[in-house]
Amino acid sequence: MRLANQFAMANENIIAEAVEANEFMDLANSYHVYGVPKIIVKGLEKSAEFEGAQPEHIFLQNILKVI
Amino acid sequence: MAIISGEDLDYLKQRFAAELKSGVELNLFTRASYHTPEAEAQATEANQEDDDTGEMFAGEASRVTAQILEELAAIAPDKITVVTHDMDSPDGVQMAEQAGLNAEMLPAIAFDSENLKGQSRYYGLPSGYEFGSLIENVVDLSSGNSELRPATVEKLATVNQPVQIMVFVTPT
Repeated sequence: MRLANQFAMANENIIAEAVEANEFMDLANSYHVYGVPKIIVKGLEKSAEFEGAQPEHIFLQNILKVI
Repeated sequence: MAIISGEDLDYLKQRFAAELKSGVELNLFTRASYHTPEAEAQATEANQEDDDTGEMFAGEASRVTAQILEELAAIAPDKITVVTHDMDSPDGVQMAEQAGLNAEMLPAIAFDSENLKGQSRYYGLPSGYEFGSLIENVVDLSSGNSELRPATVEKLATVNQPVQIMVFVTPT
């Protein structure tokens, strides 16, 4: 969540959202969240997802993948 | 009773005094109807009848979140501001729409800071591990120091269309 927030600080096109999975279970289920953190990255047409705390460059790669 | 107390409070006082620079606005989206004495009494009763579900209802989550944010703001009143938006009112709904928030997901916190170019939000009650994340966000937003590597910032600059990052988290 911290990295997502930092990415949003740096670029006006980035929307960082943390979602508490227990409270919003329907949404979590719709994204097949079985473990946390689970990260869904959505661009206009493409999307990516990954699990676990990943280093900065992996997180970044997943953002660049969807644009 | 205070949620933030003892060592945590001392730690936050020191950290905020040392690291907070510019103002951070915490926009809390909730419903006024969650915060009435009646709603609170009802929740207490429901908890006593059935306290093993582990479910955190939106009303209870909103009340605790509101308290956490108010207590944070009280530690650094010149830096942290809490603005509460009532989703029972047309104004609150309009604010949520403007902020691009999902009105069905309450409580929600939308962060605002001069150091935030994009958008940053938190859906749910920031407790446990996520309380720590909330603090890191506030400190990063206020200090303007994102600690990202220069190469990352450079590549991020190429993001020229909206990208939504959803991070699913739990308190433990």
